[in-house]
Amino acid sequence: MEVYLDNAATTPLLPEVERIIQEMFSVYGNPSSLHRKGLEAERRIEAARKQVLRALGVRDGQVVFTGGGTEANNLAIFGATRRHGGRGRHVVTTQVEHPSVLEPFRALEREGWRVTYVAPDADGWVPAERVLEAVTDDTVLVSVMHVNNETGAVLPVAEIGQALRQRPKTIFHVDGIQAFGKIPSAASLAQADMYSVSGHKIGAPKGIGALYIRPGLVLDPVLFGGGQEGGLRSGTENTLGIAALGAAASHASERAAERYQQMSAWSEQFCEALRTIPQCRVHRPREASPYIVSASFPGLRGEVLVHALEAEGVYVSTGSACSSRGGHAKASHVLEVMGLDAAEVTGAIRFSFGWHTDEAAMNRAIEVIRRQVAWLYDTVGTGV
Amino acid sequence: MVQHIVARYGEMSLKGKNRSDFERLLLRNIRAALRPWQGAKAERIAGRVLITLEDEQVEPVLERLRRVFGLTSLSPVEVVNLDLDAFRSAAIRVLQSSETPTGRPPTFKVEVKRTNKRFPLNSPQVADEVGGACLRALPQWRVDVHHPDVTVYIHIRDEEAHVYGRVVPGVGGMPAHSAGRAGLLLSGGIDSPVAGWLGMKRGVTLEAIHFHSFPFTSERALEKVETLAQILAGWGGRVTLHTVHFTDVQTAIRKHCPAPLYITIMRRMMLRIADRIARQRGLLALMTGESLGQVASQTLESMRTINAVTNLPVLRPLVGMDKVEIIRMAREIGTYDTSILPYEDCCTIFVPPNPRTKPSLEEAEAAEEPLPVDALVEDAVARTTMKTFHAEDSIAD
Repeated sequence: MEVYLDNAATTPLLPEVERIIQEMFSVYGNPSSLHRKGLEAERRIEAARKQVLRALGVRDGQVVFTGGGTEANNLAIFGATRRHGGRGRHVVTTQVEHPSVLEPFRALEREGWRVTYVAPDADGWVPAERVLEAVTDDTVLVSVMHVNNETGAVLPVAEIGQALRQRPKTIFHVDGIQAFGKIPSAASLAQADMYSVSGHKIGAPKGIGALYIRPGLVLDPVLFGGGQEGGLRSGTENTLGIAALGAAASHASERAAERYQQMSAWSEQFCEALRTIPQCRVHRPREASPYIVSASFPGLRGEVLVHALEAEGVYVSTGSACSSRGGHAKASHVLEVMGLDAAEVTGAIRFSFGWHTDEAAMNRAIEVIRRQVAWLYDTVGTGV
Repeated sequence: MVQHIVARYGEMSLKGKNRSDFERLLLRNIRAALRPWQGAKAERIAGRVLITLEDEQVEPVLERLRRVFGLTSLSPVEVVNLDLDAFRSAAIRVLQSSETPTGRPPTFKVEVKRTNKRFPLNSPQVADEVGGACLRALPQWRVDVHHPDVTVYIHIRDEEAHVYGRVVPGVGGMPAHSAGRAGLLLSGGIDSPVAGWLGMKRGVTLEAIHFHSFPFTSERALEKVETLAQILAGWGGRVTLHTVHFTDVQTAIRKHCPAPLYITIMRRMMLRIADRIARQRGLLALMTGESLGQVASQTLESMRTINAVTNLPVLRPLVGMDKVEIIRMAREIGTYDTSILPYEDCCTIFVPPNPRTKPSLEEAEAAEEPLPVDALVEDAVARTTMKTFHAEDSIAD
């Protein structure tokens, strides 16, 4: 039995996504073409835009389709700071962000911006006050992720978004890549000015994402060209991917609330079961997504554990897959800033659940983890 | 237009039957290397190999032949009639197609070799005639017999003459597969592929033996070793890779043996398994990438203790080399970039904090006492898988 618990890295396609992709093979027109073929493609894109808005829980505003979550984050950060750089030279983010947010901020730093990286508490959660304290009259942009991709921490974006309403000149961006399609009405909840989403985390293919922009907010583009997507994302639209993202968003709108409850119960059981393994330390932030569970097995190497579980058909990852460059695990910056000791960081693995994960799969995973962890500790001891 | 390449080989000390075997094998290897180029032909002509091919094939074929062991140098040649005018115009073409220095007039000389003594002019006379014609046709050129930018060679043979200006060095060595088969202990590191390459250069047919310790080493680590085997096959024509399932051996060592001797015993187990595979496959020797003193375990004491488990010769071609030399060679043969990919090999796990650097044989034997050596070797050999890599596949990549 194969148990895929690496859904925060990527997910298999939803059956309805596979269907729509098949269907889109014959909708090959360029949406910019004047003839019927173009119109047909354009209609599909507009339908998908509505589906994404609905899944985000917002009624109006702009949805700009991008080449994925990383591109959405880049567009948000560079688009806002370039456009509104006259308002100030300061930006705020957290130390636990994904590299697709951290690296754009580091690039801004090199351009002379002041960047405040707010530290998390020891559980990986970031209190709203700490973010808000960093905001000054000079702050152009605040960017905080909704759900952390390594610990599952659900950061208090609603509270931050609410408070930032007092500062109309400060733009609030939320990286919602691990929240979209899982937390119902994520963007309206976060009161975000901009909200990034990705397709392949919710059953759509890789290479498609979107940035939600609230009505009235103007950005500069990052890519220049034919002026597609309201001038914010030039390049012929990825109609196949866009339709797929629409279908996945629509699937999520219908089921997210119910799934969240169900998954909460299951992941609670899952954590409980992990805690019965003597060496296991579960890292559970005070507010945590039921879709991501992080745990350490001090003395083991996460990489070895991944391969040991793989031998029995259970697929998990060390930290985030993106940081495992070339297949080799790099120490997680998130776990490091949480102050975990070296053995806990090296021995960390992440379980992440998706649209297809059920209780049986999670139970099976626990059984395999129990067996493999016992064998590994027996084999290598705790001193390696 | 039809073109030619002359390929030269050395090892002139070979005599009699050895020499004709050498030549036959070399010609076969050259033909195998030429297989991807349709219409390219190789034939033996008095101590050389003449390759006939199309214009656009010259550069890629030269590049390929530089990787054929046994060839010492290569030249693209123009084959012309035994006629002074033909020599003159061919020599002018050589100069015209040569790279020339900037800022001063280019210099040349003409060197003539006359194996056909019936040709009416002797070598200095031909050189004079051809050199004069070049100066008249290309007035910017000067003659410099000591340090010319370009040397135009004219080789006057019985039926025709070869005119050329380029001499490309070959890799040298002995023809691949001229020395019999040996087992190479191939890790994913920098050293062992170089050791294997040096063996191939002396005619060894390689059967690589890799120890895989899933889950302690990943499938990507194995892929890396397969890539190395493929690169080596690009040189040697063919490399067989035996992948040994080594996890159980390592866990047993961990369970039964004292930590300071893990590495010594692991190496002894590897050599025992390699010895068994060698006997099954009829391999004449084993090869490793060890060199003396490079890491703490590569001491003479350690080598002696590890070596004691086999009667086969264990060849260590890197024993006289420094790390920097090994790295330079790994870059030259094209294995370096793959070797430094960051996947664990099975030596880097289970490294105890205090390994014995000078383990005695008695000590190692005592430490192995509780280990079911024969059963472990038997089982590991039974679970070994085999895969063969061919040079043609590396070209297709």
